[in-house]
Amino acid sequence: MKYKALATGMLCCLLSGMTMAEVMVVAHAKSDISAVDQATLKKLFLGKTTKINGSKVRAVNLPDSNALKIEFDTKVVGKDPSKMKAYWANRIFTGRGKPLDQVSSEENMVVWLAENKDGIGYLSADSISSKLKVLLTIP
Amino acid sequence: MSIKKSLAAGALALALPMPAMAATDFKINGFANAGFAWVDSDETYLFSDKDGSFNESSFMGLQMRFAPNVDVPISFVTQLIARGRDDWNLEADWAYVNWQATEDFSINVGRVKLPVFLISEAYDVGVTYPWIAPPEEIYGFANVPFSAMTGFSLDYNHFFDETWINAKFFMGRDNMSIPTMGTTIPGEITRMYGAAFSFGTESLELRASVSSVDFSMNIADAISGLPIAQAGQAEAGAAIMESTALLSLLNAATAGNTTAQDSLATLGIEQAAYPAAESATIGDLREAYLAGQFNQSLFAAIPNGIGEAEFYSAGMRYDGDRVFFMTEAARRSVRGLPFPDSTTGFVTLGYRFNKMMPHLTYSVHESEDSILVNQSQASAILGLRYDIEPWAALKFEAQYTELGDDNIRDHGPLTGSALPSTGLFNELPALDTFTGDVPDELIKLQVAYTMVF
Repeated sequence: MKYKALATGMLCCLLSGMTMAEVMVVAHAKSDISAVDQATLKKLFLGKTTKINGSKVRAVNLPDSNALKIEFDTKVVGKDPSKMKAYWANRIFTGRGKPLDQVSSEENMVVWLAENKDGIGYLSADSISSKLKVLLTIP
Repeated sequence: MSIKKSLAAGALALALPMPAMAATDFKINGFANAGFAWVDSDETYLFSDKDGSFNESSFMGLQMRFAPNVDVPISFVTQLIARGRDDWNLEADWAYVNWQATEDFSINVGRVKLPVFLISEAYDVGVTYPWIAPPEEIYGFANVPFSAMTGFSLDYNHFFDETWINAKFFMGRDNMSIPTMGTTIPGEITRMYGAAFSFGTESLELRASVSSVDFSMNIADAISGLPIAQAGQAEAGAAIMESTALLSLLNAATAGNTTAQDSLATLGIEQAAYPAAESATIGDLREAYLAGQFNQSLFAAIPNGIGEAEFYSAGMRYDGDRVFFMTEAARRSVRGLPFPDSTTGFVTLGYRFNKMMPHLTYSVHESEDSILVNQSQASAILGLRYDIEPWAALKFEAQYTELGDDNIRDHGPLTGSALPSTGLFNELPALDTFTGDVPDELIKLQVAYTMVF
């Protein structure tokens, strides 16, 4: 546990100093949504809205320790992991917000999005599947 | 044939709805604190003393949210908390049904935590603030002796591009108990309601709120059974009586009156109890009181029954990339029951160095017009929060607290008229005899690990 924590910590430090690959914002191939802007994405992943252009969507997250989630939160939401966690803890435990759906890995993200037409998530370029469509690419 | 067909159709009907049924949603989240607190005092301060305490800041909470149908905006939320300070008994501060009527507007019905002050609702969620616990002078039980109610709350939220607003209204009732004077006085909140309004940006929040509470409690019954009260009646000695809060009760009664009769009337004492009152001066009355003539009547004179309280607060929190700044001021006003008005507030400044955030707090509690309790004190807290993981932090704190000027130690054998402050020493009742061991300042050291999952 200790080593895992240490390793994660080191990974975070490494990652923050590295330029990562693109983050692809994705949805079901037959999703009603065809594009999304960063401001809406930010609201979605902060639980401040559940809609894109009037269509209801369900945002799905990767686990807190996932490098791609950290990158997504930093680039799109503008919060580092600690602040993001504190923000959500505040919302969840004070009755203000429902926790977002979460999947354990990018592979499961693909599976989840393929099953949920109203889902919206993010993947690295390597994980993109033909069952999904890309709504936005974040460099 | 037809029977077979309908059977088959029935079986199909039973089998089909399963995949077609709407999805339910069930989520569990939680938080936990493990802490150790030590104070340099033999008297228990809050929940700790010289032997230290693992209980004061150790607790665990589990929150379950169940939505029977993800397409219907109704969910059931329960938050169970077990606290070391409550002998780990399970408690539910949150247990409500939520209806998200529109994207901006929601209703909670059931048991909800009260939004009395800025972070009241997040009081138990350590990762959301820098200290081990929000400043006791304002957030502690001594200032607000209840944390949740059963009723409903309406919540309006609107997000603009860069800013947001939130308006909240709540109404309900609850049972409560006030730990004071070395005992616990049970009572009932017959009605409480209030509103909070806040707005801000990503990193800034400004907030104002008002809460109104109607409550009833039988104080005389609760305290007349205390050993000290009985000792006071038996010995009726001036030395003991002087050290009790009853003297202050007399002072409060005489303060606004010009004749002894009026003072007696204020105390609810029949004039027959002191036949000389007609010609007596207030000074005579005082001497008669100190000689023990009214002791029993005075217990009856302690106000009973219904009271009202209001809480007003204004606060701001700035949580930037590096700077953390938070300040809040609150006012409690009480009518009908002998608990003091209070003015409380704090200011905290913190600065982030990567995963470390040292922070400094000054926090104050001022009791006013005290009759039975005076809890004036001020604290300076130096703390360090270290984010081990995004979901876990280690916190260290050193606190210096000084009791108000009229504190129980400075008074020595009491001669003055002011009621001495006992600060937030919960085992240090104003009604106790003065032993001389009472500190007028203290140092508190704490360490705690806090996490969410």
